[in-house]
Amino acid sequence: MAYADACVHPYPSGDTTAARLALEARACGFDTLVSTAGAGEFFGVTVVKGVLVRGRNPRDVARSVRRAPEGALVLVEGGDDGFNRAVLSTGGVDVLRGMHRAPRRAFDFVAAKIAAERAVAVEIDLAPLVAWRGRERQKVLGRYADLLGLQRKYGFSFCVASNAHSVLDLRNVRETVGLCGLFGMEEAEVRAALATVDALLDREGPVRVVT
Amino acid sequence: MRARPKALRAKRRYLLVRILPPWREVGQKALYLAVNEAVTALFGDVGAAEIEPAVVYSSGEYAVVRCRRGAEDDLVVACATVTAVDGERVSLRTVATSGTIAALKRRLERDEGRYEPEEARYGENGVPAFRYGRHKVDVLQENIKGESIVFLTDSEREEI
Repeated sequence: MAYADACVHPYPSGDTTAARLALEARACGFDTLVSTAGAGEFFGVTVVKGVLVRGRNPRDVARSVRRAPEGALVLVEGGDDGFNRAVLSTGGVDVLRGMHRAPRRAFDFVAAKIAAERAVAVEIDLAPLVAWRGRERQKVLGRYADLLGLQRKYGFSFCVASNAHSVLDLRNVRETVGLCGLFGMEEAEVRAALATVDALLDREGPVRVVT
Repeated sequence: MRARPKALRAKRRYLLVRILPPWREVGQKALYLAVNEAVTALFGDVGAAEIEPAVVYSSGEYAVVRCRRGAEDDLVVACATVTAVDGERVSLRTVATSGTIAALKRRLERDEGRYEPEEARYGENGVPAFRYGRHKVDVLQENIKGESIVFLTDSEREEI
């Protein structure tokens, strides 16, 4: 199965170049990276362009999504419940991220149904689980457990991202399975989430007339 | 005190972990404190007492971390949450798990030992750089915030 890290931030956002991240990701068991800077094929690892979209309102987001280059994965920063529902209904959005930073009720059963219908994945960010301690990490674990409950009921997809700014932030597949197990995810579910990016990249688009 | 008979001893498991970046010198005690803090932060005091983490061996870029049998997966997760040792940014990658230290030490034969910096030239300035593996180059840079590392591959040294 092809495993992908759904978001990394190479140089100049981070301290590691895309090629070096790809080299380390290969050692960690990944064969696809979604990168916010740079794309290409390095050391047998496919680095796909990812576009991070942050908007104050759904209209801003829709405008930015329309401008995203073709073939790029569009990752939208989530917000409150109304914002999330509007974003999930916007065509062209691939991933909703930042749910651990959003308010507690920001992703409810309505959003879960829309995400499942529109095939939008929800990102599980490993960075707070790794780097944060105490109450902050407990809140993130609780939020992810809530999302997991909705995912099991409504069947939308998860994708797992390290959000690595450095090679030191990457984690291998075994460690990813263990970290996701902290909030109750089974190994098969984690492996399915790691393979979600491939499905998002092969998404069937509207029929285009080629002249 | 006499050692317990083998049948009464608690079974242990040993994890071989690789310390990244490999040229960073990490003391065994500092590593023990970092792993212990990570286990306690993640599983609490009760969990830490059940896991019984300890660093039993450390050499160059590798270390062997001990735990009680059955708790090795928890220790792998805890090691994944270690981000710094003694104030220096590092990452611990679990390489293997075994029931004996000897089995893990056999894997250490590939340990490249101590890394010495070489000078890399970037424009006018010469900066220390560490080269390891086939393509990896870590460049140390001084800036107003202090020392920072840039992780490159050998083909990109000219581009930065």
